[in-house]
Amino acid sequence: MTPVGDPSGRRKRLGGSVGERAMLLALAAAAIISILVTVGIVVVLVGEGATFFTEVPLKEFFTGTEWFPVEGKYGVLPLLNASIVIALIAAVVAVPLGLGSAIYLSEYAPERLRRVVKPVLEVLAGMPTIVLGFFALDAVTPALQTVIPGLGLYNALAAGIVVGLLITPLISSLSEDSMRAVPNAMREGAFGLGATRRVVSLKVVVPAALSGIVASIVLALSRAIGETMAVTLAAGTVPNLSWNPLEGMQTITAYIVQVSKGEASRGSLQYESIFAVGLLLFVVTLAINIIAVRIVRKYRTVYQ
Amino acid sequence: MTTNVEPDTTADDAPIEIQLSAGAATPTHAVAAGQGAAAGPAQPELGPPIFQLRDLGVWYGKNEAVRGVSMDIPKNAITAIIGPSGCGKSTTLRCLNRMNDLVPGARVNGEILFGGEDLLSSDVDPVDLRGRIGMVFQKPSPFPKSIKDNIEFGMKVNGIKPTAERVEQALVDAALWDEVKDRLKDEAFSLSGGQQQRLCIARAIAVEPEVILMDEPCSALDPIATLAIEDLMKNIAERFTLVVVTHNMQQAARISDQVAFMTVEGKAEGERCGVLAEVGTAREIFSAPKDPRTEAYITGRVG
Amino acid sequence: MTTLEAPGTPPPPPAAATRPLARKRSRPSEQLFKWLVMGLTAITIAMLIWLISSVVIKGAGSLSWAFLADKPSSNPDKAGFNSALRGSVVLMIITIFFAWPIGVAAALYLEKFATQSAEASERKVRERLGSGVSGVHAGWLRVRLSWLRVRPRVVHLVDVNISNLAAVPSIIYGLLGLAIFVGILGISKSLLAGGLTLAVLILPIIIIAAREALRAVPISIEQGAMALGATRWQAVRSQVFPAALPGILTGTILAMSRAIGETAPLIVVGGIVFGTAVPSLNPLDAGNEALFAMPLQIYFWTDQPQASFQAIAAAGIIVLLATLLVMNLVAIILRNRYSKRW
Ligand SMILES: Nc1ncnc2c1ncn2[C@@H]1O[C@H](COP(=O)(O)OP(=O)(O)O)[C@@H](O)[C@H]1O
Ligand SMILES: [Mg+2]
Repeated sequence: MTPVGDPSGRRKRLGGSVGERAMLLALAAAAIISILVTVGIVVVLVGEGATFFTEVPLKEFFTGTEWFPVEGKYGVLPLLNASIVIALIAAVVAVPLGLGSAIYLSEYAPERLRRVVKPVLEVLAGMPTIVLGFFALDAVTPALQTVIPGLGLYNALAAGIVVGLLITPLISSLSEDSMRAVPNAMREGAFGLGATRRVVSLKVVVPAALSGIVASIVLALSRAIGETMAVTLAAGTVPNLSWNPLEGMQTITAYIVQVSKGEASRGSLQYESIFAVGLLLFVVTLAINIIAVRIVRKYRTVYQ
Repeated sequence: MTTNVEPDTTADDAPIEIQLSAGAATPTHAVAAGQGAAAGPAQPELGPPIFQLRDLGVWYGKNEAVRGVSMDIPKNAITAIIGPSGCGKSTTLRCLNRMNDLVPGARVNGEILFGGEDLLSSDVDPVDLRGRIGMVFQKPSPFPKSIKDNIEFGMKVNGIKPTAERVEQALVDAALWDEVKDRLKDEAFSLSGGQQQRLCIARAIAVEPEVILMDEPCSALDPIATLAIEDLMKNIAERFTLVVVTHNMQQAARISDQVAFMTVEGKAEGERCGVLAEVGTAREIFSAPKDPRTEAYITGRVG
Repeated sequence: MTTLEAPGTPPPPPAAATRPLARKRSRPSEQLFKWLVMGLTAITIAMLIWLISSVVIKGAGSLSWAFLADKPSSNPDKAGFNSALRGSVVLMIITIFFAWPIGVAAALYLEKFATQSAEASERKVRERLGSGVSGVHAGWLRVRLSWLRVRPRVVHLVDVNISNLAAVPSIIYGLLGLAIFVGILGISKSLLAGGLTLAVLILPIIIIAAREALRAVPISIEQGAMALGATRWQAVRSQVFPAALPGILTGTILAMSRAIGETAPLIVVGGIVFGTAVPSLNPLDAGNEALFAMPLQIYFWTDQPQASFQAIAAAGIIVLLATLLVMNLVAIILRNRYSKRW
């Protein structure tokens, strides 16, 4: 490689370095803000949460079976339970729909159809959750009531179904990506042995993409647990420690919304309680995400 | 040399050596071929054909990849398909067990008689066919399962009971048993590239097919692994018909009984199409090629 | 051409295969499985169609220019979407104003300047140029700003941090906004507080999208500029950034379409207060304007027991979905129009 341009010209162009230094500093500062956001979240949740836990012992918080702030009863189990029940219903809906779509799109659908269907599915993922909440109240629950007589307006089932719809494209999209990342040579190897498409899909492609698939499901669960508007509207605002999906129940997120809607004054125990349950929500979703990342990392090593 | 078709030879594939190695090829087959050539017409010593290709042509969408291939492939022998890259060797090979059915937009015309029956016929079951005509690919493609499960996979889909003896036999045939007998439960990915390819061959053998198609099975491997696989091909050729695509002419000369040379016709983009230039015994092709293009290719002068 | 057999020799009879070729047979489990996965895909799409059609059927009757122009009212027949629309416009302006520069700057730093390897490649190009002047300059940069160069491991940690942030439930951002913007900074529960909260919410999304767009620009473009004597910064500013801009904008629009539909963080920051104000469209007034937004208004209406409020909630959803549709179309057009195949 030969030098291009004369040195003096280059010196001139490099002359703007004071400005460059300032820009670099500014860019670095912007990157630091992203870390500050995380720090801010942790400090806020832990800080306000700590005040809460000086008044409500941790033991009571984690083992109490009643959440009734007006009477000072802060047992988080009903809220946590509701979040989990609805996330599980969502998973029951979304895992078959998402995996089925992923297998269909990756292994069966002609390329042209795939290019149409995939964005359509992603529309669901971008659907504002308030819309899904409206859909649950306005369409899903009434439809369920025709099948299940006596089903109340607020129930975990409808909430779980719409949250399931919301996370289906997450599962289908990520699973399909990891299935398509399976080298074609592996499929051909199986076809060349006389395997049918079903066997290739289920016995070769799915196992080869398993870590990616599992990670997608785990991530979807985390999304379901953090989901707010659909569950607030559809499952109601009455804390209820129950595994019955036909009953109404209040999730962690719905409780935060309920308190925020009113005027809980700053510094009151109720105000602090939303940070305490927020901290719990943050820790749970973070833990789930870390698990998902671990799984994905394991999957990356497979093809190296 | 101004060429529009590059020969697929590596630097050490000196053309002259090829002729030498063809002359000094494997004792069994080469001697037989020599005697046959001395005694009369070249064909008879190759035995009756199991495949008869009649005017085979393949289109990928609007591109014609292969045109007018007609040849016989003898049973229980090794047929090598050689030629410059892009001349349609893989395409032709993949027709023999209907793998091209899986390529969207691929169309195959002509006839391929297998035991006298046209296997391209639309009412032939391609899944069943592939159980009888196995395939090994260029890149070793073990499944992400244990070594044992890799072998058993094909047996299960073909309804063969996967006994320990059968697994062992397949690995012995593929000359892999001694290296893996203590680690059958290990991931197949833990094997070396050459071992993985032998595992893929073992996987194909375990299905007990009549034919094994191999598409450049050694091109991703080092010379020692290549020799191991060549040896095993010669060993199993008595039981299976082998059709092997290779870009390595020395390899073709070392292992094959019959050689088909394919080349590209048509210069302009869009009319380039693979054709069969010549087919004959290994000895004929390497020592007395009839087609000038074959001669140009094996002596390294192309164009 | 093709030497098949020597002329005159009769063709040899074919060898027999072990058995005749099997005819095609139906494999019920194959068919069943294919129908199963196809059916599951169809069900998902059908649910989407059901969702959209039920909203449209319910809300279409309430859609009118008056609906878009009227302010909120306790009478469902008079209630309009105007305040919500204005609120969302102002929210988006504030959100983008804060999130875009910070997000893109962070992406530029992380992608192009943060690691030692970036510096090393700069040095390599300079060494190849054999220019003493540049060498001195690069040395100066190294000494004075060397702390800005961090190890790849640190960048990786920031990466992990950002992708974790992107997965934090949006309601948590509401709590952050409530405590910081409303609590500590003392901004009232206003459009400004809501916009800032949404800006923090989409910051990780913009960073991720911008980094992907920057990464899609081949390194050769940058090295080509540096080989001509440009500094890394000049190369990035004049070559890489313009090339990545369409991708960055596409990502930005998609991030905005996430922000415009967010409800929960706004409720946490601003509460749900019934009001009939009409917020000003001037973002500088946002600190004094009550928090209005399309999703908030929809939530408020949906939460009302009267059926006629459900109809206007549906009408509001139609407007929101139409906005999202337009934003996504713009993003797609931008991507298709300007995306270069490198
Ligand atoms: N799946 C495919 N789709 C479209 N064209 C293909 C496909 N496979 C091969 N071709 C084309 O067919 C021709 C022959 O290819 P191939 O059979 O792979 O040649 P070879 O194996 O001799 O190198 C080439 O021009 C190639 O581009
Ligand atoms: Mg090939």
